This record gives sequence, structure tokens and C-alpha cells, in this order.
Amino acid sequence: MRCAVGTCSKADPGRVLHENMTIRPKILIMIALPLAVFFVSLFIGRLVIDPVTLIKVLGVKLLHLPIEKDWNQAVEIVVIRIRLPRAIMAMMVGAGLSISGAAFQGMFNNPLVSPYLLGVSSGAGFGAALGIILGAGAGLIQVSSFGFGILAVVLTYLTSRVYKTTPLLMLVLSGVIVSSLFMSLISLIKFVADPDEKLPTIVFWIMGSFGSTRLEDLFLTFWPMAIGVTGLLMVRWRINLMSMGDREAKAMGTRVELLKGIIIFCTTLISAAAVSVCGIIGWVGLVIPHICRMWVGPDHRALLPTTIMVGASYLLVIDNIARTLTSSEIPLGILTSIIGAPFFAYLLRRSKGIFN
Amino acid sequence: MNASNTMICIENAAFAYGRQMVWQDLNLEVRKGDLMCLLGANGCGKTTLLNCLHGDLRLASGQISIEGTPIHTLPALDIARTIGVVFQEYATSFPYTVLDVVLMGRGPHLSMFSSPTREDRDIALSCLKNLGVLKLRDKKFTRISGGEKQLVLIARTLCQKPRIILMDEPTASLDFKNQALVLGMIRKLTDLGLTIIMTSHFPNHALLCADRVALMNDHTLVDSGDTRTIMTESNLKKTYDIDVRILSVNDPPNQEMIKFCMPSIRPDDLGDFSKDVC
Repeated sequence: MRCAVGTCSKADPGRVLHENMTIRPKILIMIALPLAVFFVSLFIGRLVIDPVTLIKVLGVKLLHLPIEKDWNQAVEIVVIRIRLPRAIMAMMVGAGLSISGAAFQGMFNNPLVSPYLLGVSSGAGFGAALGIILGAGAGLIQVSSFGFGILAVVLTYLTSRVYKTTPLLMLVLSGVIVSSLFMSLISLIKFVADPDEKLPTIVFWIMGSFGSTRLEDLFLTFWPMAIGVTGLLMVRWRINLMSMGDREAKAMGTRVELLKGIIIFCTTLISAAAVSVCGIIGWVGLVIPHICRMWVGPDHRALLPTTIMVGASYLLVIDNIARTLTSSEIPLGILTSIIGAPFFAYLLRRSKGIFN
Repeated sequence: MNASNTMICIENAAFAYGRQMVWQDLNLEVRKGDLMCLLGANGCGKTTLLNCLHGDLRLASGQISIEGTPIHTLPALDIARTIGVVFQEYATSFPYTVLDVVLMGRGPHLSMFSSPTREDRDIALSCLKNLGVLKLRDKKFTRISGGEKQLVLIARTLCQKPRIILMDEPTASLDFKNQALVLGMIRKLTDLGLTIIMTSHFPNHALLCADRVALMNDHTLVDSGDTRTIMTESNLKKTYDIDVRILSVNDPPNQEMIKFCMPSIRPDDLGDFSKDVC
């Protein structure tokens, strides 16, 4: 059909200006928020570091600036070897889980879905528990956890496949099956584990913590996260179509099975990497997409980048609370929901259940 | 008839869900620029036929050709570029804006990894404009009225730039005015050279705007052809299994006879209530 393209684009300049004026402050907040949280988290903690020293240390160690060293060696170690890797890891995991949750919620057209839907967390938890009971070192536990996380999702995917398609309901049900299978295997390992030494290790591992994050861990986690996040960002507009249901998405020229495969592949890389370094952190992947949807609307083109920024900030704030609130560290998995649940309830009440 | 004029050709088609046969011996031809209305009782397989026509379901036997090419040999992307579909149900949980919904129609023209460009956005806006719903662009799709939704979904399908449009009960659950508005808009689309197949539960809608009609009952086509010759009392009785009266009246403003039909159901024909009903 002939469209009067000219007449429409004429009205555009004013329109675009208006849109930019409402979008620009949001983009500024999105960039400023994680940066601010990041810097704050580097100087709070048991060893209080003043901001000026912090900037100097970062300048010397990261940018190799020629500044005279007038601080204690301990400050340098705390900032560079402990707080920096931990903050970066928390941000990566928060961002990854949030974008995965948003992508899954779009794909399943269901706002109640979390990134762990297809069993990645129970698989990864099992992998870690297995590693711990066999006495493996930290690196091997991480690899085993990552591998079993992926394996669980592969099992789910194969179980749900019928007639060369993977209907969403079949995926959900297969996810339930595989999750409960690995959950019972975790229980089995806990049951046979030595109750004085190995059992508490398994329990605390699953509850989640960034306490043991080292600088070297970052690179191992970075790659699966980067691949997954990039993949999801690339297909983010297609997720809009996917959320119309398989049939409509297909009628609008979407290769539905390929898209499902890409989304599952990316979210699995991200969440397996996340669980393998910091245990099963719930809630983030479920709630951050909601909060972002209230803020920027349901269009996944805007939603996915927003979840990265907000998710990274949220988990870092939670981790800062986890390590500073009491003298011993509180497991993250507990805090994410103790703080997140009332906050989300407040938002839900205020919006009266109407999102955006 | 000129063969190159045939947009859709259905030959000896049969469809079954598992062992349950839905329809068979179905032969139908749709020409370029036709507005064809598919009528039939609930559950006779109208929607199933539409879903076969855009390649979502496969026939048990027989063949469907789109512009001369058998549909099962066409890649899905080519089908999406040729055929747009306006579905009856709209089931997303997310309150997209009207413009975002219409933009989705650009799907067949963009790669898996790209997002709509400014040009796509202009196309979407002009489609909204053509259907007279440009002012809704920033409204939430979930908050607009049923008639507006239908016009927006038609705009989305136009955004796909198809040559054929399939519509599943475009007037379902619309009020009197919106039914007329949507039907008028559909009629206007054929003036642009689009070929349209729509299903309906209202024979009057076929009489009002369709060039051609196909009637379905008893697992096959009762009859198909030009509206004026096919819409007879006996054909409608065969389609709906009730008596139907077709009335003609002179419509002075348009200087022509218009036809409409009425079911004739007498309460006496429906049997007696048993005494314990009330």
C-alpha cells in the first residue's frame, strides 16, 4: 500500500525533541546510578577509606598515574584485591540475572517467570554440592557448578521438544521436572554429607555470597556473561514479537524456534555463570524487570538495557549491606528478598498493580 | 479466468487434528483484489483453514498454492512477507504502546538481530494514519477500545506490506458502529489491490461488503462464488441448519437494491421445556 511517508516524517522533529526530553533524564540516571553505587561501595566497609585516597589509589593502580604514594599498603590491598573485584562481580551478576529475567518474562509472556525457570539454579547447585562433597578446590567447584547448570537446561530443553518445536508450556513443565530432580539430588548429597564440615559448606554456598571473589575470578565469569548479555541485547526487539505468542510471532516473520534457542542459550550462560560464583541468588531476576517496566515501559528495546543498569546497582547495594550491616557477613540470598520484598510490595501497592 | 490473477488456490484440501477430520474435499480459488468472506457454524474449521493458509498448520492432503507456489515449499519468511494475519485473540501480558504494536509488523523485513529504524517507524506511523488512528500512537494498546484495537491490528498487518491479508472474525465483539467502521476499512483495503480473506459469524457482513463468499458446513465447502449468486436462502440453510430469509430492499441514496438476511426461528420449533425448569 502507498503510505504518505512524507506527511508523517514532517511532524517528527518536534515529536522526537519531546521524546528525547523525557528519555534523556532517565538515561542520565541509568548511567549515574551504577557509577555512584560503585564508588560508594569501594570506600565503605570495616576499613573506612576517604574518597580522596580512594581516587588516588584507583588512579595509580588502574590508570598508572604518577601520584606519590601516601597511604597504607593495606588500603591498596583492600581496594584493589577485595572491594573492587567484589563490586564488579556483584554488578555483573545483578545485571546478568536481571536481563535474563526480563528476557524470559518476555519470551514466556509471563511476568512471574525468573531466570531459574528451566532448572539452571538447581543444576548448578547440585554441581557445587557434588564438588564440595568430593573435596574439590574452589576452581573445580565453580566449573562443576557451571557445567551442571548448563546440563540441567539441556535436559529441560530436550524433554520439552516435540515435533521439532518446544512449546512454552512444555518448557515450563520440563523445567519443573528437571529442577525438582536436581533439588532432590542436592538433598541427597546434604543427607550423606559430613554434618560438621561439608554440610554447612554446602548450605552456605547455596545461600550465596561474593565473599570469596578474587580478581582472577572476574575474567572467568566475564566471558559467559558478556556473550549472553550481548546476545540478548541483539534480539531484544524480537522479544516484543515473541511475547505475542508463537503463532503471531511466526506470522510476523520471526523464526520462533531459533529465537527461543538463542534466548535460552544466552540466559543459561549468564545464570549458570552467576550461580557458579555466588550461589543461588533469588528475587533479583524476578523483581528488577518489574521495577524497570514500571519505569521505562514494556518495550524490550528500552527494558533490557535498563535492567542491566538497575540490576547491577541493586545487587551491589544489597552486597554492601550484606558485608557491612553486621560483624559477620549475611548470606546474599537472604538479604535480596528481605530488602527486596517490602520494597517491591511498596511499589506494587503504590502502582495499584498496574504496571507502567 | 486469467491464471496469473489467482492469489490463493486450494485443491482437494483436507485437514485433521490427529484422527479427527476437520474438513476435506475443499476447493477454493481467491483472485487478486477479492474480499472473500468465509462463513460457517462454530467449530466448522474456519480458523483452521486460515491457519493453513499462512503455513502455521499443514494439510493432511491436497495442496494450497500462494501466487502459484505450493505453500509448503515457501520459506516462512516469504510467507510472512506475502501474507499478513489479523488474529482474533490478542494475548500479551505487557502494555505496549500502539506504536510499538504496529512496529512489530516490520518483523518480516528486519533480521533477527536488528531493531526497527526511523524508516520503519515512519512506515508504522503512516499505516496508523491511513487507518485514522494516528492519535492513538502513544496510548497503551491494552487501554484502547475494541474497535480501535482492531484498526491498530490491521495497521500492524499493513506495516508488514503483504499482498494478502487473512482476518479471523475482525468484527467479533465490536459494537454496531465499530463493526461498520472496521468493515468499511477492510473494503477500502481491497481498493489498494490487497486480497483479503475474512471469517465472520454474520452473513449480513458478507452481503454488506464481500465480493465473494465461501460457505462451510459438514466438513467441507457448501458452495463458493460471487456473493450475489451464492448467498441464497437454501445455501444459508445448508450452512447453518436453520431457516433463513433473505430480504431485498431498495436503498434510495445508493440507487440499488440491498440484501440482508434474517434467521427465522419459531420458539415452537425448539421443543418444549420440561416442567421442572422453573
